[in-house]
Amino acid sequence: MKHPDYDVLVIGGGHAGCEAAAASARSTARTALITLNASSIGVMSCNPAIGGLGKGHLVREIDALDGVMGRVADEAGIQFRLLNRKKGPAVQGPRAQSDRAIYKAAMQREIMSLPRLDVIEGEVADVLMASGRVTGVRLADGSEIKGLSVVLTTGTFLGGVIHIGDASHQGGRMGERAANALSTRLRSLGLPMGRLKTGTPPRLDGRTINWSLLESQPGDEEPTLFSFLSERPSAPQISCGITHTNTHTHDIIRANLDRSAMYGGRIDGIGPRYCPSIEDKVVRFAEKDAHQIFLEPEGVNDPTIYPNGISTSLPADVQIDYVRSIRGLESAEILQPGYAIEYDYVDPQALRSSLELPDMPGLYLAGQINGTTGYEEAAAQGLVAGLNAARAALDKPPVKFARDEAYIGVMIDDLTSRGVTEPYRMFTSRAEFRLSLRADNADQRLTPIGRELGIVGDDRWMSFSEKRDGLEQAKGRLRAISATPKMAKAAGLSVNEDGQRRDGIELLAFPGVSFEDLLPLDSGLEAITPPIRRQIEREALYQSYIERQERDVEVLKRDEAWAIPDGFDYKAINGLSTELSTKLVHVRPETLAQAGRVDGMTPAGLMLILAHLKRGVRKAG
Amino acid sequence: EALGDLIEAETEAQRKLAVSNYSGALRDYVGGLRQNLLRAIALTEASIDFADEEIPEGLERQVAHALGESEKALAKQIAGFEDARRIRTGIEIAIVGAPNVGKSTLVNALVGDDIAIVTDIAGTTRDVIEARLSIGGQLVTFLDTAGLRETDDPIEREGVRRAQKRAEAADLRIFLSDTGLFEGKELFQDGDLTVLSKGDLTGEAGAISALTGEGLADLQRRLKDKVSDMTSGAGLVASLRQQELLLGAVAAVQTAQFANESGGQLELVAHHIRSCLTKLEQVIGRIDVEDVLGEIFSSFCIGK
Repeated sequence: MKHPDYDVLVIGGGHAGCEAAAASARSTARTALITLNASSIGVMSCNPAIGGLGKGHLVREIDALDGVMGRVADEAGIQFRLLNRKKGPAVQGPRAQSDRAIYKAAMQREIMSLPRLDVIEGEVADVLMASGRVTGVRLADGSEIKGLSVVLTTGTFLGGVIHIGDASHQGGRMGERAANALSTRLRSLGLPMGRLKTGTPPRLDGRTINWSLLESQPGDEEPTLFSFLSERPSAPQISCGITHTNTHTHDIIRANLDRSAMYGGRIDGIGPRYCPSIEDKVVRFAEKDAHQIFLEPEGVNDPTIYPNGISTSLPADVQIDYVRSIRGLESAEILQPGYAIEYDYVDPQALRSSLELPDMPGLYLAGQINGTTGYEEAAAQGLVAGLNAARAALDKPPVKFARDEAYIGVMIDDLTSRGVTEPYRMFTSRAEFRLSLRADNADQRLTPIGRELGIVGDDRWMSFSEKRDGLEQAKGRLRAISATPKMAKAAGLSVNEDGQRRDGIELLAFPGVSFEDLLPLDSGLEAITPPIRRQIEREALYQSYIERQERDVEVLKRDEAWAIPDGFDYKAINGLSTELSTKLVHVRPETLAQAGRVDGMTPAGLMLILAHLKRGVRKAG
Repeated sequence: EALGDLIEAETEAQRKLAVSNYSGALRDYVGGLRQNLLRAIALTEASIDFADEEIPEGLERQVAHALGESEKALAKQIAGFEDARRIRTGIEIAIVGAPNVGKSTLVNALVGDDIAIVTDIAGTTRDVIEARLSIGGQLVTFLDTAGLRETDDPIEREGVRRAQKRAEAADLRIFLSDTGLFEGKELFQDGDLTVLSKGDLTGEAGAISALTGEGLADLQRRLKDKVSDMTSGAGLVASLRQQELLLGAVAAVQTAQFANESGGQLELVAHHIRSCLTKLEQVIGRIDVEDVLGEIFSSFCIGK
């Protein structure tokens, strides 16, 4: 079969693949999404939910760049909860349960509707190269597809092996075959690879659960959606159920530990520091009598329940026993047993910040293949990889997001500088500039950048411009206020009696002062809409802290400006320990700042690198 | 400061730290401070990032405790600043006494040089003469002062005045007398030494003789102990820059404490703790997010 030539080929139609294909298509590159099964595009392998703390921030950023995840999650959202609602805006993260069927349908519709994007069903067996560059892929049926750039977003499918108890079989997801030919090929290329594992709980039949015994968790009364373009949920809203394991549950699990694939020693590799399975929880935190379980409906018209909190790789018969020991689940039927899956990943230190593999120019990696876990982490990488793959094919320079610009930047920098020892998950604590990188300002941070890059469409740009104008106008009015402490007091505000005049923004920085409190000072403020009011309040809250961090941002930028050329000879630096130079050769940091983040880097080592860099510059200049 | 600037300072500090870590007490101190701060930031971050997991209530109290312990430890370091300054600028020991009691002779004997002009005529040492030497690895400056006495000579009077001022400001004074009557007693401060001189002439028990060397070794030993006492509290902080960092660190801890106790926003408590951690990096080493996550995952049952 003869395929047309493309600019970009995306391999794998999961969360990373969809964002990659969409970003590539938006960049006006001719894109093909190659998948084992076109009807699996948009499937959620595990938890039927999107977002959270850190994860929710990533979704907002993807949306700000006009990616698909946010809008699809809103369309499929059946229970919305803003986590940390009572805490500060910087640590609030939107989250939503998804109707899996709606999510899949919506994602497929998005993908199919994109111009310049073809979906091709087939198994990629090999990546083709010529003169040291990627030229396309070869399918298992022997046909070849040419592409200037190739993005690998294979998820858990590379060399995927599924374990239930002591039974195991190859598979990328339950019921779907693994990508083994490709796995073999990548290993033969000598790429630094490893194995990771993750687990999933048994799926239960909701019709066999005694809901009346259980606490219920409804969504927020005023749902907070993901996309900046969304207004309200469209799907019917549901509640989740809450139950707990008990000592009887734990006894059953403990008695069968040797039959657990993850505990029985059938899966290699060091386990993560957190608890990926109920077995881990029971063993490591034995003193806990009860572990919480969220019973998450997989869809409005779907009886399947996803019990979040009891991931396992115990045999099916043990699963039914321990499930039935749980309150409310005494008569529960298991529709699909839980299982563990181990899969190949490529050490992300081998990647550039553009997610390209320098040893295979034109090849980009994104998602779980880089050692991350989570749909959102995968999607964000997919967007960057697809964007850069397209730009390379169109002869444009790559794009990099910095740590002070986006969580996307934090993640990619963490991966490429430090690598992973366990599946990487995003948390707000990973971002040193957390106070600036908020979910509420993702659009202000990234939509203009996206527009410059050509990946933000007109609809979004119009909506954003309107919002930005509204904010500027409002801030202008606030800055025009000049209130003495006496005037402020008269308006009911308590400020320092220091004789200083303050504008509206400065007044808002005082604890407990809301936008509404300022109305007496300027009746014109009445006209400003609530969303704008709330946004300005959020910004005022952190203003002084963000200013204080400006210095750190400057330092970061200054050290980011020291580029380390490709092929920089670390071994030639006298005084650099072998251990350190080996690591540096492995990581290939692009800037002095990134070199500083390599594990084990010492100040003395950095000094030596800087000295050599300066010498190089002097020679060049 | 940019990485480039900071690097040199860090190198020096780390070298110092490596040396100071040879002492078990200091190693414990550093380890304790690090653990307390790690605990404080880990508990705070756990309350933020794992709000939807089963994180126990009331962690602010534990955070308060950890911050309190850290503050105490840092205060101890700050108390040692005086000692640290002495290490940096050298300890000044003033020799005080009436004219011609043998001050210059003593200084010369201790230093082993003929720095001061030694004659038998009262009022020979006109200026304050400084003689430097190392006692037990510490820089010490002896101030050989003009003999204290009433005088009409305006030059001498100026000399006496200067002598008194320097003696007062010195870290230690040695009061010298050959008769047992000590001039300048009013300058005496706790811990100062009194020494009888010219033992070879007076035959006084316990008196030293700079000429014969009698009692000199004993005096040197006493001085060594004194010097050690005066610098032992210096701890880890020697440079002025590091002291600034420490003062900044304790201020950050206090701000974090206040925010935590007044129910302030957790991300701001975390911000202040992190600010403290950055300032203390030279002392306790880097604490990065992987360290924090490790502490969180081993303390709380966090699922996937």
